[in-house]
Parts: sequence; structure tokens; C-alpha cells
Amino acid sequence: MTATALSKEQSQTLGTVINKLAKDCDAKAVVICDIGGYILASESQTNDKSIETAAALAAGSFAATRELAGIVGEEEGFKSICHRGVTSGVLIQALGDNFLILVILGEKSIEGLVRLHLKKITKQIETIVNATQDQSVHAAGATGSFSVQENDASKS
Amino acid sequence: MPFVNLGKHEISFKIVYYGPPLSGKTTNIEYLHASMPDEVKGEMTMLATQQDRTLYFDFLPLESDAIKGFTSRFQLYTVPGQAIYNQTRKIVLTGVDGLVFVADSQWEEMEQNVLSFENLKENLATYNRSLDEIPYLLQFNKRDLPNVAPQEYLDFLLNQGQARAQYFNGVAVEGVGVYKTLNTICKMVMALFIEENNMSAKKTGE
Repeated sequence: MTATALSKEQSQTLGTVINKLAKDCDAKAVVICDIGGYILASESQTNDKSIETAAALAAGSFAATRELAGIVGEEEGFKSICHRGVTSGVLIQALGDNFLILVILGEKSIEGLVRLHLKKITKQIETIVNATQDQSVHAAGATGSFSVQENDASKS
Repeated sequence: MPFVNLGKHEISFKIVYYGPPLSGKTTNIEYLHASMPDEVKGEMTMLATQQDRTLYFDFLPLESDAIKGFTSRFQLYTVPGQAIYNQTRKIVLTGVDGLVFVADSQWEEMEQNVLSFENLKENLATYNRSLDEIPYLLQFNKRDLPNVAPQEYLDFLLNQGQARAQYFNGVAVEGVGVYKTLNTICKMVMALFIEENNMSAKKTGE
């Protein structure tokens, strides 16, 4: 169960990239997560707790879509899914095999432009997130050892 | 596997509550959500059918300061117990760090318990993983009902791994055993994380 890790620099770079993407796309939120729903970076106008849930749902939704692709014989799988409502929408796109980017569209977001901006930065993001896969916490820059606080695992 | 974000000083762990249909997986999570203070819990999400049966998963994020210098995030998931939803059970097991197997203590559910436990092992095997390397424990739920099997019998049926798993009795609907289960599995996943990552640091001489 050796952990994978995102370094401080990688975290900052991803933050900068998705901050710009969110502005360029008039997005309500942008989240980069792995296929298990762990968040690597997020930029959002809403609170962190909603974003954590959104990432878990996006990961679940994308996984189900990937299974559907297999059933209908699409060997490459579907690379993105998009749902558009009246005032908002979601675009989920694969970043390689193990990561996803979720863009929560705002009222002013134009889907075609979002896809265009996303295409421009996909390779840069993929390079960073793929590098985390075999990166131990110490290779990512953690110093010293980990230890538990004296209280319980849960605060309550 | 756990994910560490050094930029945000966060460590994320995924814990999955597994078990046969109607054994009380969702009830465990619901009790936690209802009883935990707001500052340590996120929104609870339930993807359920109109009959309130889990369709995809339930999700409850929790946070703690259990590891020094980091915010530990525990993402609790349940799986749907019904046989037809095996594909979604497999999906939810992606990257799992710790498992709670919630067994139904009623005599008539013994076969379902065993089948579900075997199904768990089969689904983990599809990811080349096994219970030998993932922290897990057993919760024998519904101990308040009149027709329950002795805990020794449940232990005999389900506790046959290389290392014997801890088990707890539960009455999840009243909260009995719910926090003991959560605290123990959280401590187990953190202990393994600390052991492995401190060991890897020693190997690399850091």
C-alpha cells in the first residue's frame, strides 16, 4: 500500500493551470482527480466538501461509462462525457488511463471553447499526473517520518 | 492506495464497506453522518433506487488530524449488495485502502454472508489484490435480532484468512459497534501507511 504522492511544485503547477482554465471557460469549478476519486487539484467557487463529493461522483460516473463502452464494443473506451442543463453542466474527460478532469460549466460557459482550452493543456496535465503514479512520498519531497497524533483516528 | 498531496498537506484514504444485501452497510454510514460534528464530515451522497436500496454507492468524506502535520481524509464508500450489481462493486473497489465486511448475523443470511465474502475476494483478484495485503475487519451486525448465529460461528465461517481479522459485534441502527469499527479500520490503514512509507524512506536513506 505504498502511497503515491504529488509534490508541492506539482501541486502548485496544477493549481495554476486549472485556475487559468476555470477563468478561460467561465467554469464554476475544475477538478483533477484519479479514477478512484482522490483529488489532486481543484479550483472552485463552491466549498471543498462539495468538490470532494463531485470528484467521487465523477469518478464513479466515468467508470460506469467506461464499462458501457466495453459492452458496446468500443475498445478504446469513451474519452469524455458531457451533460448540459439550463444553467450549468459537467464535462468529464480522461487524462490517460488513471486520471480525470472534471469541469463544472457555468451559465456563460461554451462547451466548444471548454473543449478547445482543455485540449491545449491536456498534455501538460497528463505529464504531471502520470509522474505521480510511481512517485513515493519521499521522492515527492516529504522529509522526516510520518507519525500518528495521540488522539483517536476520528475526531469524534 | 493512499494519496498524499504535499502541496496541501493532505493524505487521502479510501475505505469500503462491503457485505451481502441489507446487512447494514448504508446504516453504518448513515449513523456516522447523523452523529458526527459538521466540521469533520462532508456531504453524504446516496445513489439509491426508489426502494432505498443502494444502486451504485454511498459516499461520506471525513477528515481528521490523525497524522501529524497532515489533514487525513477518509473517504467512506458502501457497495450495493445485490448480486446483479457486481460490476459496480468492482468499480467501487478501485484503489481501496481498507475494508469493512458487514455481515448479517441472522441464521438465514449465512449463505449470503459467505457468498458475499467470496465475491469480495474474487473482485479484488481482478485488480491483482487480496485480503492478505489490505487492512480489513469484520462487523457482525444486527446482534439485537432474536435469530442470530453465535459470533463464534460467524467467525468460523468468515475468518479464514492468513492472518485472523478483528471482528466486532454491531447493532448499526442504534450505533452499537459503528465507531469502534470506523476507528479500528482507520487506525489500521494509517498504521500500514506509516510503516510502509517510513520503511521506504529508510531504504532510500532519507
